Amino acid sequence: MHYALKFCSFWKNKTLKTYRFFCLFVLIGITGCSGLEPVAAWERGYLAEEAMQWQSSTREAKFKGHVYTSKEASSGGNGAAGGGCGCN
Amino acid sequence: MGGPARLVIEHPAAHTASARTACQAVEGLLRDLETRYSRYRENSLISQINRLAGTGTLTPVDEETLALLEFCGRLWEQSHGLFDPTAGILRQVWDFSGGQQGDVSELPDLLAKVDWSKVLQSEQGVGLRDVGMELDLGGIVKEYGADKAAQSLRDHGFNHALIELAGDVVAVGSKTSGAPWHVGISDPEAPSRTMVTIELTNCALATSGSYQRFIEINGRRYSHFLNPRSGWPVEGAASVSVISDSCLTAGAVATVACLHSGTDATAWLDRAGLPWLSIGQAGKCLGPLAP
Amino acid sequence: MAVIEPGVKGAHSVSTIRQSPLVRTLGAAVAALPAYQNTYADAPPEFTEVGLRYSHYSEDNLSTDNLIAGARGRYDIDVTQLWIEAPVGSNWSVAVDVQNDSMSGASPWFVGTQIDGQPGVIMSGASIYDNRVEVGATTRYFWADGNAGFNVTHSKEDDYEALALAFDVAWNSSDNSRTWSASASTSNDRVEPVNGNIPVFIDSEDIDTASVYFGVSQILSSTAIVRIGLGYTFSEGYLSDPYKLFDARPDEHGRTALSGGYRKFFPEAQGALQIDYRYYSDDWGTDSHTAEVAWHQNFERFALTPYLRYYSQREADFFSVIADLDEEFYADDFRLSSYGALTVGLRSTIQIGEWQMEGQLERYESDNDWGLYDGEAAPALVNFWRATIGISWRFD
Repeated sequence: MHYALKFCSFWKNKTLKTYRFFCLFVLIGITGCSGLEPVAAWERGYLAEEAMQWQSSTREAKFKGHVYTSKEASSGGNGAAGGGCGCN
Repeated sequence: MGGPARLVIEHPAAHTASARTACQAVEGLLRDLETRYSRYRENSLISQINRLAGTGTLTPVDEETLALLEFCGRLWEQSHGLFDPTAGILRQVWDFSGGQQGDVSELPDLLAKVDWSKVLQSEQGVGLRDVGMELDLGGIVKEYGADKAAQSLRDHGFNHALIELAGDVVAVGSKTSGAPWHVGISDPEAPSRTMVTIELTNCALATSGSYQRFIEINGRRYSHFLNPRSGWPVEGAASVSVISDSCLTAGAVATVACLHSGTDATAWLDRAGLPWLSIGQAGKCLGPLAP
Repeated sequence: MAVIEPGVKGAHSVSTIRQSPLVRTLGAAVAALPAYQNTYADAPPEFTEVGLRYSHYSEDNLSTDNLIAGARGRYDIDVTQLWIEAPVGSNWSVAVDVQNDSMSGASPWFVGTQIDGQPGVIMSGASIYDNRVEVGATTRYFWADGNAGFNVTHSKEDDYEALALAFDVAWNSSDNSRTWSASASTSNDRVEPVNGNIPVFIDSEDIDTASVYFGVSQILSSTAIVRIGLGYTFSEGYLSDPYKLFDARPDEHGRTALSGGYRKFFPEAQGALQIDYRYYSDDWGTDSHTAEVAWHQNFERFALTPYLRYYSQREADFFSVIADLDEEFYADDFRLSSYGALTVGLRSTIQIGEWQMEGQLERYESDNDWGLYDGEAAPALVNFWRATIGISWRFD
């Protein structure tokens, strides 16, 4: 509950107004994507290629996230945050 | 299916057993299609429907059959009635093993029974309104079978394969090296000679043709395709090849092209907007794929 | 595009041609046939996979210009990852991940002023040695339209222990062209700093974190996909760095990340372009942009992926090069300063039968001048090398 309140106050935060609109715009854009040419099931061979995956490998993505989160100030970008560490 | 079938699967050596299983699965589904849709089998679904023509009885069919018939209806509309799965009975008049015509006086009676709009389709099943009507899906089942085989291979995890069913080809992905599959289109006059070689990656090539099946009337050669309105053979191309995503679509467009004569065929093929090749009776090649 | 060349006629992935109305009409009827549906329904992996990865991470020595006292050498970390992932029945999969980090080296203790007036780093004394072990288990359930996973991860090192729970779900639209995903996680951490060559002033403190993420990915064509996601993470507890002499951070931290990605396959080249972007903003005043570009090139037996990553962050509100002790919050940690960073790397994978091997090498360098934001330059910015090798085996 506590976290829900925090999330709501974030959402109301003025400085984030600009990209709240950006998010809505993108969501509308994506849902409006029904104008796209349908890609039939048998045409999806290329999408299954290793080259077309969102992550090169789950373990590499996990390792990479761990390195950058502990050496830079930013985090996130792919799924909810994982476990913590005393990274210094 | 009326011809030889060839399956090529490129896979890592470790998957040989799986590949064999996949081949067996493909063989199984092709046999199943034959059992259901062959007009040469007494107990096929098609034969059952044909036997009950004119009785008012509907034969219950599965979803796949209904969907195939729906596709036929769509093609019938788009071809302005030229593609008609009830036109099979017209064959009785003609002898296509290079022979002569039969009794043309029978045509008017037969033509009365050629009418796709008299095919009854509903959730309860399929039926033919008039006695003597016959349904023949021979024009599309082989191509559909090729697509089903491709799906089966993909389901088994194989993404580099080639399926050939007597001239209808489906390329599943490319070769494992990334190079496309090479398929040759034969010369209708000399089937062992390749007219043009096509590169295929993740698409299908269907060829409709009349080599070895033709009729000579007054010294002119006609294909084995019959015009469902006149009942007469079409003075069309010797062979038409079309490339599309699905073998079913490619085969449908190629078959209808063969049902047109002369420039009408070219107009139809241009309307489809797919890469095509037509080889005329004299060996003349037309279309974007022509050499 | 149908590629028509003289001599040999080619046709590749015809679907990218604009379909004629005739073909589109026929296509609608084709799509209704069972043979063309549900080819990509969600299913657990068909094989069991076991894998091992080893990575070596090595930070550059601090330059003597920036050093006031202490060792120049910084962190060296050896990371070993071991995992097994297997299908269970026809709808489930289970994965167990074990990771071991061996750390040695020194880190900045605080930033002071050198004789010439320039800021300089006082490093922690002798090199520390620490070992962290992390064990995680994930169960995943698959159904026709999607999958959902539940993960528990526990990590332990000399001075830190964490327990995290995470839940994620992905749902495919009816034609599988769009995938919606959501995840939520919570973590309870405890820090009990070791009183060694750096004096510490806390005994035992807790940190609680909760995080949510929503994303959607869309198939654009037979060769392209795009995704966008938004995440929010909130932490509260002892968030300062106990090993820094002058470090007092707020006890709450809210952070937002907006991310997007694009993948495009080029069949003729047998390669794919990979682009990823993230915008990050938190309530400590830090904003950042991360942009990654990679090209995955297939060869007959192996694949090579060179990649580039650009990162730029703005300093936190309470950051200053030399900690300002008059303020309520202060930190001189270089990780909260303004800077830009570039990573250049190469990843390679090779598949031989059921075995896959990977190798990766990258170089990271950071500099205040490379950033998009203004801010003081922290003297302790880090540069590092990272190399990874791995092997995995798949079997029935």
